[in-house]
Amino acid sequence: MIVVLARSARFLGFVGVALVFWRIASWPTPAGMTHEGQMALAVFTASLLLWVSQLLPLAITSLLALVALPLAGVMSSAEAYSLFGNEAVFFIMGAFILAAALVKSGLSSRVALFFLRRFGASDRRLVLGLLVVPAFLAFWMPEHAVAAMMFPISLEIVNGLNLRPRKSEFGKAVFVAAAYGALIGGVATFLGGARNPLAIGILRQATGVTIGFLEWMLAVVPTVLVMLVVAYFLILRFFKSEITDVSEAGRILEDRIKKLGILSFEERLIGLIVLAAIVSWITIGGTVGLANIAIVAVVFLFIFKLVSWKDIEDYVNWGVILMYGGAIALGFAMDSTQTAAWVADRTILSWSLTPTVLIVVVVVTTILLTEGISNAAVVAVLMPLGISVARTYGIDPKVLTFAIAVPSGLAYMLPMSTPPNAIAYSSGFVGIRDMVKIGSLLSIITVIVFMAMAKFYWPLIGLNF
Amino acid sequence: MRIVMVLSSIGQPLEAIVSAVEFAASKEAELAAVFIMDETVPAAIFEKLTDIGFIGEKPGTELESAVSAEYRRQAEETLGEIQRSAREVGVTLTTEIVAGDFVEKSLEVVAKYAADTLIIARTRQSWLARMLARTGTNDLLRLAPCEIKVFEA
Repeated sequence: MIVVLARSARFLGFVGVALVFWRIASWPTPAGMTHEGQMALAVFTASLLLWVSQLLPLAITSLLALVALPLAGVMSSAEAYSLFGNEAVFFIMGAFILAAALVKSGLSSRVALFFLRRFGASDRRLVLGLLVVPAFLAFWMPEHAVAAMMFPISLEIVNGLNLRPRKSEFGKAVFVAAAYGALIGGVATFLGGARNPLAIGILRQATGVTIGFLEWMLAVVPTVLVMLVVAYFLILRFFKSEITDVSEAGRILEDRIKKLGILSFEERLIGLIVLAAIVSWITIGGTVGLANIAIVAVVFLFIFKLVSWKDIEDYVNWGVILMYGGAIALGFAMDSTQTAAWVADRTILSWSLTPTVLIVVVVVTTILLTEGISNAAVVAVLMPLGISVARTYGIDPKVLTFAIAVPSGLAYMLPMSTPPNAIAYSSGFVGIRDMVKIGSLLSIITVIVFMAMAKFYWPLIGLNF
Repeated sequence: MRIVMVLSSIGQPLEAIVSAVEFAASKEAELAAVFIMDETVPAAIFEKLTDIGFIGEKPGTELESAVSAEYRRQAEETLGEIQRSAREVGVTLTTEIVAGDFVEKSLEVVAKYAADTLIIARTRQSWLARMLARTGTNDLLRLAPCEIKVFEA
């Protein structure tokens, strides 16, 4: 009975999306919009509904959008499929393969344990370590992979300390710290979350402007550092530790390090290749191209036989290519047909906001949306509108890119918002109520910190609004 | 008299469990404590990692196994506590761990043990949570073929 009802609801969902598409596509074309723009809006709205409802996997919705654009006459098939070959997509692919090599070789776990054992002296320091270490790792590899890697370590710590699920406040702190660390660290570079290069890809496709690896870090890392400090004190305040002796955790970490054995030649070589890629992204990324560096690094992994194709297939989900390729094509269609400008004119631009209030509205909207839908979908939906708004206001489009991409990665409140939260919740130690309480306060503080940085720090590095 | 107590991965307060065991003792009943491991949570984590996180199958599967193993450990720990409580009050106890949907498996074990009463131990909920959330307990109150007792703490 339940299965039949679920199937009916799913079928009705598809019918609803199709009706919305048909309704928008069959309107008399509004003044100021072209027919192509109207069709782009229909495809955009249908994609948005599918991303929110998750009636289809995210990547399949993107693929559908890519096909729907030429079928609806928005652009030619050749143009739509060429957007799939965007540099950002190949950068994301390369970054995921490099991360796969780090995880498969065990080097990422070794680095995590190496740093974490330095924090095992007291309960407060252990929480700090569980926040800072995943954050640091998420600078250099996808935050979701970091959260998945940290889970068994956190689990072993809470079990070693005999903490009771849902009862132990320190147990809650352990899992929440690891999740928030990965989330906050994930916004610092292009490597922590693929939504960051996606935002750059949409920005570049629409305006020709881009943001370099170092430029991104310079703008975002100070916010990340402040948010880590805020998160640390909030975790300590919300989850008051009931234990004082965490020496067992230190022993567990030492045991894990011993089990890993000595650093292998393969690990050293993978570490060197990833390090060389990072240095190249920072120093020569702007001239050589981020994607080129990523792909060359991947080729080196194979030249030295450090990974096999089977390993890459096991550790990388190729849906990532479909998701981001389709999202970039959709963003380009919205911008090139002036549809994003049309929508922005009738929504946010009609409110006559000052630039500062405008950025606040964008940041708050992004944070609210990202609690409900995937952060990549939030970027795909908001970036075209953000670019139009920036043009109208005469604001540097990079500012709007940061205002959308950074908060889109900071979904603290709900377990279903993002994989790191879901992983923390699955431990059985953290309840939904725990996450909503601390997450809502952290979200409010994020808006304040982000705006303070934007207002007072960004002008120092040439970002004005 | 036969009583079945069902427990789940969501977690039950120890006080509610102890009250339930004392109730079985007062009725001089045989008690079967069945822990139903909810497989939907590990499966949802796997789905989140692959669909949203675009993490490959292997790390997703490893994480799913780690979560399932942790749920089994928590189940064994909870059943161990019930065993201690039952021993203290002299109740004959059978324990079992099963995996699957809470409502479906609860109805199966009620039939298997030919239970006269089904006991559910759960955390006390606010009226708002009760109104908003569709819970397995509410479904069982509607579907179970025997008397149901809910112990809250």
